Amino acid sequence: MKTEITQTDNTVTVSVCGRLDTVTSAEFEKTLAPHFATQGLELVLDCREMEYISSAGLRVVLTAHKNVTAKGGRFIIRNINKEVHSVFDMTGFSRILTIE
Amino acid sequence: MINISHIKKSYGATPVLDDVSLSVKRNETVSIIGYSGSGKSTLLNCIAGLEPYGSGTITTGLANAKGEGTIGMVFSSGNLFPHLTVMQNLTLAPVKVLGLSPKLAEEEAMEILERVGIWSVRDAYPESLSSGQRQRAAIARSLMMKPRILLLDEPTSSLDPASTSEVFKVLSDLKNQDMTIVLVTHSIDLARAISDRIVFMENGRIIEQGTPAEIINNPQHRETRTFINHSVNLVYNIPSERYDHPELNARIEVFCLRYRLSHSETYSLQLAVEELLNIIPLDKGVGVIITKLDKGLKIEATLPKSEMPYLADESMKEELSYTILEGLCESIEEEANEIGETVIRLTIKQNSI
Repeated sequence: MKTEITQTDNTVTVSVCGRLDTVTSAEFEKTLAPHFATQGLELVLDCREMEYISSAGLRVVLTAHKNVTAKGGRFIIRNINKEVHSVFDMTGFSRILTIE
Repeated sequence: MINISHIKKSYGATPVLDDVSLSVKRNETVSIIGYSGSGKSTLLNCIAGLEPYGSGTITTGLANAKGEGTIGMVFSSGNLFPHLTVMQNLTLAPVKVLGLSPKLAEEEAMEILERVGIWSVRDAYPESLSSGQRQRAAIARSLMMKPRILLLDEPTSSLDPASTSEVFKVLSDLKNQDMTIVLVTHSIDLARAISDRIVFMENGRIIEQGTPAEIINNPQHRETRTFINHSVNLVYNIPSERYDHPELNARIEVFCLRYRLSHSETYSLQLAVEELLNIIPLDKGVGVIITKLDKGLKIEATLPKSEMPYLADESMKEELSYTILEGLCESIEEEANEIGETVIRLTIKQNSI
């Protein structure tokens, strides 16, 4: 799993490439965590190159959503593929999260 | 066509063929399966006359000293002459051994190359061919000698899935020719696809033989069952919580490639295994077996004996991992096996992802 972060004004975009699973999700959380304290942040998770997500990755996504919205910000997920979307659907995450 | 009677052979004090008897009928296709070191390749080499044996007899009913219409042999590596083109590899023996004119040999080679689908690479050297093309060229070279018996030693063992599929097709076509085929293979898929009979060997002995359905679907001996289980299914042992997750995923990917499963099916399988391993204790080890069913996939996890069922806890059902398993699976079952271990079975829905 690789991540790339780009920042413009108050928007941070984290692009994920590869798998978010038991092995990689702790590292992914470390990448996101520094942005949790920012007030009114728009945190975008670009999943164009995300191949796979499991419950371990979903937990980190949910943590990010809770932290960012608690600080008055927005957490947005973009460009998820069909399989990853199915996992968001079967867990009910697609009803809670903003998926564009 | 081939009668093998009480063959014995040893390397020093180690027996490699231990009183092997086998009859192969004319035009029958027989696959010999078994672990490495079981004696199957040695048996094939003895039939081909490439290796001596200690006692017993092998008769083939063939006696043409010139080579035509006798025994052809194809090795796993192909063994083509690297300094000769495909065409030269094919025509060398018919010209030198059978005394065919080069023109006639080339005409016959063209026909055979067309049959095995590599006519277009007739002037290429072996090193520039794909592994599947090389193996088909090796089969074509054997066919040039018009063998009545064709022996193949692991013809797909060094091939990628696409090349394996090419060789499968060629071997399936050969089955319909006037030829007796004996094949040594690790590939249950190949054995199932082309054999009239499958012979399972272990420790230099024939343990069991029967039709593909009998041997693969209903083996009678424990040794055969273990081999088939390991060959057809993905069997993976998780020793503790610190298991090698990337390796397990890689093994699942190879399994899915073998059965040509879709990307979505591969995803479902990897996800179901990962989520299952999240909710069961791994500290005392877990055995995982993944089976491809006619429709769908089955995962079986065997855990140590337990007083309480592992999945009975209601709080577990609120776990995210369990929610995903419910989304992926048609059924989630738990029961004790005959020795008291707990077996959890998941049947993955088709199109769950």
